[in-house]
Amino acid sequence: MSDSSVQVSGAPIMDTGKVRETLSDGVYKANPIMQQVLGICSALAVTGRLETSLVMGGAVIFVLAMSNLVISLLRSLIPRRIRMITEVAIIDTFVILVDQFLKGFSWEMSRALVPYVALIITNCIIMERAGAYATLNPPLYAIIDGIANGIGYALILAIIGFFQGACG
Amino acid sequence: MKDSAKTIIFAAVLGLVCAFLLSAVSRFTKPYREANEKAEEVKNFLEALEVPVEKDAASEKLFELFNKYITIKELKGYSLYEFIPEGEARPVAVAIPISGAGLWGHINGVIALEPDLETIRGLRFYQQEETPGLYGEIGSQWFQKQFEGKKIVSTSGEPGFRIIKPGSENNPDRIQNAVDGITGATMTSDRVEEILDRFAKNFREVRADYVR
Repeated sequence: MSDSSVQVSGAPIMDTGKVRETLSDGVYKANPIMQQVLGICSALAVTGRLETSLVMGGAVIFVLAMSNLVISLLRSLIPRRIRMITEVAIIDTFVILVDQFLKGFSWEMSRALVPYVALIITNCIIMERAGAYATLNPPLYAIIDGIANGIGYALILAIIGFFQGACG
Repeated sequence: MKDSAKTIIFAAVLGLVCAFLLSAVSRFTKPYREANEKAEEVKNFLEALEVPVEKDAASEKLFELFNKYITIKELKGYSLYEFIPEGEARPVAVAIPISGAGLWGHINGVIALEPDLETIRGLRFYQQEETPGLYGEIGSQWFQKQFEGKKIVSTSGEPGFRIIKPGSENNPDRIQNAVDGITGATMTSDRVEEILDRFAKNFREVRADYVR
């Protein structure tokens, strides 16, 4: 019932039109920050420097793509009643992965991003894409949607970070 | 009934998979994280003692400096980290780790004193979980800078340390052993005051032994 929006039977694995549409929606037409007005809080918080913006953007792309992929793979298995908590658990797992790797391999960055990485968990973009897209679409499209929305977020962050950093 | 059983099984399996994944990653990154934390600690000790360190020095360099200049002496339950520069016979500064409860979590820091063991040379809080941007300000430069040159005894010789409301620094008793607190972070300021005040009081005994 939950995967009603797309028929995959008999169709080629990927429909290029839909791929392109998903991409341009996430990056531009339905840009999460500019059009969907999601993820504003962290966007304002981490853009003081270009480097932190880029790392934060990268982290969000990774978490968004992976959580979308996993949730989409499990979409017919996830019991409706614990749908939200399942999504949060999956998102959490990936966020903690990112956090641990930053602490291990990019100490300076993890110091600069202290609270914000953990707060990706509550980044509304990720919850929203999980609920509105990943639970309804097959894995390949879900991962593309995740990457596209992540890029859309990262792009805005990088632009703000660039100007904020340049202007001091 | 069948539905709820399915829900429970799903939740249990999901929980197990996530937990397994997280502990695996945690184990894998642990040595790297600990090395970074250790380097951060060493860096803060060196900074508080004013050991000349290049900006952005690699952790190997930090450890090298630490091993070269710092000797650790145990005295009455305190570890004293003495900084003896090349060509000097006596330490020019002594650092002592301090720690205590913050508002949200444990605060670890280091206080460096001049050889009189009274005057603060530097203070760093390098591990804390206070609210970033507000309580977390105790890790910021302006806050830590204030301590330099202050003493852990009052003008009348009483050991202790105060963190006071900004603007009351003209109070003559408080000039010597007090600094401004952080506006909007009173509870953390209070905790830091407690850590320092307790240190000042307990350390008095050690000082008597050391300075002789």
